[in-house]
Amino acid sequence: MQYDFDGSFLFNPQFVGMLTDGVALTLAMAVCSGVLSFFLGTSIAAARLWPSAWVRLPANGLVEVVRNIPALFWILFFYFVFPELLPAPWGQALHEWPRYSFVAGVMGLAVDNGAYLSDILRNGMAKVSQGQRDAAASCGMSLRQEFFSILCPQSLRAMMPAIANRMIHNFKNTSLCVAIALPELTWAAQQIESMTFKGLEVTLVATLTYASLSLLMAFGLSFCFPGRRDIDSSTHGSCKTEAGHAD
Amino acid sequence: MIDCQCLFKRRAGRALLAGVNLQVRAGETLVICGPSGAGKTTLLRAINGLEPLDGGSITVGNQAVWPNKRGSRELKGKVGMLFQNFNLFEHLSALENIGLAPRRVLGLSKLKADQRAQALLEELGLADKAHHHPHQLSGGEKQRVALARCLAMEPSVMLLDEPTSALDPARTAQIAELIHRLKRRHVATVVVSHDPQFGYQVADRMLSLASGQLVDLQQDESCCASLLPVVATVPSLTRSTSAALAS
Repeated sequence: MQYDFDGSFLFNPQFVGMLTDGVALTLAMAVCSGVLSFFLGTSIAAARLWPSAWVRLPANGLVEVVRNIPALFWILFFYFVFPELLPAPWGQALHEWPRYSFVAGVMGLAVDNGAYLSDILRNGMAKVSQGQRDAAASCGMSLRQEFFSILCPQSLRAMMPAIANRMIHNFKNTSLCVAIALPELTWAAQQIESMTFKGLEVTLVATLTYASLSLLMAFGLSFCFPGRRDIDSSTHGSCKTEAGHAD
Repeated sequence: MIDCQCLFKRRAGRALLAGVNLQVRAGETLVICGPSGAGKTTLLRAINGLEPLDGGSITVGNQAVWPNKRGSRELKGKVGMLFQNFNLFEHLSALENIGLAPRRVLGLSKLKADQRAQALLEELGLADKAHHHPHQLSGGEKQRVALARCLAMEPSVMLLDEPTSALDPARTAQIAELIHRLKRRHVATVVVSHDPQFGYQVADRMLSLASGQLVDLQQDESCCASLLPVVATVPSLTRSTSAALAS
């Protein structure tokens, strides 16, 4: 191989600035879309567990539609199509708003991630035993109180590894926003490549940055949410009754 | 206090409740016994609005429990139910299990709810277990925490499903004393028990549920005869039951 590896562009302040700005925007997108998708996913999961079919069926339909369409489509939809669906002055205002590409990217990622999160959350909530729900109802709690005080805390703890995976996936999906010229990390890498023709070097830097940030996120999430410890020991551990026999 | 009219419930092609009529007055303790699978727990759940019925009506106080879409939530914890498998909230400590519903449903402050919970734990001999989670408690301790959770709502009706199944004789006597105390506070209590000895200790009236029908043990000689060996060992046998058996 006769490739002349040259990483000197990393010492050029202009390129370093582009890369750090790209990383900052990527992280901002991951956090904003992650938070938004979590609320969206929780709401859809609640709707999918609602007793009334009038609420449950549209929520199920929405998830099926979103899951079967690529994330890139949703980003393009919110950037190009959504403003056209609004009344003309509003659409025009969105097109002229300099930060709309960021907002469109966040919305596209949040819709895609929210649908998957709702599936994870719904399955987690369905695993909370009916007995727990009966006990909440018997205590007189409303559906909302039962959802937030009983279902969410238990299912979140059990589902945290799956949610963390989905959030890391969402972080990596921010690279799709290159399609709407949002200056995130992938866009910055492509720009530097077109200016320096150092494709291998700049791609390597971007790849290592994505990998390190993903690992940091995984570590941070596993540290903040230790996962199924309590639930595991309660559901799998046997205990003895006072009468002396095992439950 | 409790008025059940002509309750019908079929499951797997079998009539669990076939026209059951039941009235329980304030301050009365009713014990229902019967073979496993006879529908005793189904009847208790129905009184608490947790079991949809095929026919009939249930009123607690002046509140319609069935037919009623909101079921037990409508009762705001005024009907306390001790479940056979306790159904403690696994993610909360004993203190939080007891204090949650008073805070959420009755609107008590955290301080007042915790004080109420602590007092109940002390009354039931669990003061040192306040901060234990359910998986750290024995079966008997769980049963008492579940009982305390019902009592924290100061219910006017108590439904106890096998309240002594996991308790030793000393604790069983304590539960019997507690039921007598509920009686003095004019709480209508329905107990489902496999233990006729315990039943005769606490009952004002004993019924048997078999083939979907309730039979009054004080009027049905064949049922009484089957319980004679047990009744003979119970010193605190009620006068009315003695008379019924003597006849």
